[in-house]
Amino acid sequence: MKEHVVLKVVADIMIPFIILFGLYVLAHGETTPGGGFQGGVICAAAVILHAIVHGRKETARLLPAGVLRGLAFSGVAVFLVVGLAGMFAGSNFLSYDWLGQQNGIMVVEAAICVSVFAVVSGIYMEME
Amino acid sequence: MNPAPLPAHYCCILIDMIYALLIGMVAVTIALALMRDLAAVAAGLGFLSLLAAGFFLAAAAPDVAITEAAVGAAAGTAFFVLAVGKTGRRVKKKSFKPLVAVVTSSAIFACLAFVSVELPEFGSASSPAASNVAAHYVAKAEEETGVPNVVTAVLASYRGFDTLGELVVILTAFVVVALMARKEEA
Repeated sequence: MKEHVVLKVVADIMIPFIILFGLYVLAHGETTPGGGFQGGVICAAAVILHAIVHGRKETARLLPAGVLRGLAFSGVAVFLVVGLAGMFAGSNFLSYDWLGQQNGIMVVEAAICVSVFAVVSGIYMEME
Repeated sequence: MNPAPLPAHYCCILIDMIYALLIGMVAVTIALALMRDLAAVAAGLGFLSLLAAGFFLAAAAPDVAITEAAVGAAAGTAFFVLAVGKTGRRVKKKSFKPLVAVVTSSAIFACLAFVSVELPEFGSASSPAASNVAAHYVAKAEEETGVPNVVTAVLASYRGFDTLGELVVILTAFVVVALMARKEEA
């Protein structure tokens, strides 16, 4: 895709807004449709667009495969730790009593977002 | 936060939209089954997902619609195009057995049509899905979790365990893809 200047310029303009929209869907998921999963996939779509237009080597330089793998696992790990912390605080697994329901939901949604983002963009980047 | 009541004709428009989208999905699916160019099929599957997203939106499930649009229409299409690019875009003539396909799908369609008579009415309050814990969630979710979006409250709090399971499932898919790609390198 060396010669497609228009595609590259338009994609570069769109990518920040796609990521911003993904973060909005995550942050506003409490009151409007959306949440961690949707926000994560929308952000991953921006990475896939970058990889289609600029080539996967250029995307991998900005976002190495190791980082994506780490993010994918850390999201699940945060979710698990939040859940287990509820147990150690004397309540049920994944009860957010020690953190407050609203904070617990926010932390978990952010963890879901990070993990889903890394998984969806990572699958595209790894499918070499 | 009570939304304003919908005007009376709005509901009919939505139901017309649902029918139009479902008929469109059937038409696209038949067209896809007749296509021989896999790159075109990959693009068509993305369009099918977009119609499905519109259907979910018209059926008052915007959370599912966003997911379908992002996963099915965007990411899924990219995966398919990538896979077609690796494997070739032509179908082998021998592998296509139209009679088997038509008989199997007609049989499945007949079974589903036969059972669909027994389904509860669309949006019915007495359906099994709506008659157990759903009423509690709708009435108490905001009070108990502090989150006005009931879908988010259910996914992240009431059914957090299921969501954790889903996350582990997609992580497993990622690990498998990464391992397969690594095998090709060696």
